[in-house]
Amino acid sequence: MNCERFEALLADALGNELDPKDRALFDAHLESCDKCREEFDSARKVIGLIERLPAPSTSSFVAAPRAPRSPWRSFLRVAAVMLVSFILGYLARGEREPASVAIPGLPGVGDATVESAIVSAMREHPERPLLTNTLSAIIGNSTAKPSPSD
Amino acid sequence: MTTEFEQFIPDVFRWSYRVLGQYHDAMDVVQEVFLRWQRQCAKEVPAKPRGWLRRVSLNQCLDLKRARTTLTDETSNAAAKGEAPEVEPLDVAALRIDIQVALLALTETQRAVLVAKIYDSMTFAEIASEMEISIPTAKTHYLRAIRTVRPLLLKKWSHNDKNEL
Repeated sequence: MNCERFEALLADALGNELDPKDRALFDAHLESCDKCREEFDSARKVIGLIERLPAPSTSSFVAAPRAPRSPWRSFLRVAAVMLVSFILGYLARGEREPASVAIPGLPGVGDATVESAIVSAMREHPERPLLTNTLSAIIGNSTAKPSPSD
Repeated sequence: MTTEFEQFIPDVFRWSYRVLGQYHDAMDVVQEVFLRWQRQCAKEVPAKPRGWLRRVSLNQCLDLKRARTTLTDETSNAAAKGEAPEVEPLDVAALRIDIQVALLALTETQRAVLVAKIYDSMTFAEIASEMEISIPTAKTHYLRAIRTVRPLLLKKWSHNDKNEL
């Protein structure tokens, strides 16, 4: 193998996609060519450094400490719920009981999968657009409770 | 549209967390990427959503870092929210900053290919398909990305090995 062929196979070698037969020739060239060996080793170091950054683990995410809620944020959340309740109640005025817009108990961050845990965590922040849409969907799906019979 | 995006939330979060190292920052990126997803889908749904989302997520991560230039800023931001900032070992934090700076030196495509290869362990064929480029082009981007970040990272980290971090 010459250096030109080495260069052609370098991406595959660094990406762990080298054919076994090419692998043998590639390794043999590394033994014999200082320049190519230095090229390969330094590239491997770079990849190793980038790999070092830790990935999130599901358990650490699920157990992530929640930010302590500021009173102002809690107040805004309650005010938003009350406002929505009032609006829906106003729209449903008439003989029917006002729509009961109890926000269902939002799923806590305790689900097993990262996906559901993330979606659940995001539902706790209604000021954010994604969550507003999700929250609106929840509210929109709420149905009026029938008035209790006497 | 929301449901379709939700299936990609773990990926977007994972890429963001890996680059930013902060739970809340990663969540901010997920939010921002969702907004961009909505705007994009209003015009045209990406043919390869995951590839599109990876590129946009990485861009957002680096935009976030550009906006917060120092670790002090992050600490202040966390304190302003009443949150305890996440603390990681100083060496990992320093390496993360250097990698973020290095990623800024790459083109959008080089960055996406590098992350897809290293963090998602995709083959060049998969990357090429997802990013709608040829396999040789994917390999070229990968090598160019490594060669671009190499001097930036090895200047400081060339003697570090696994045990030192």
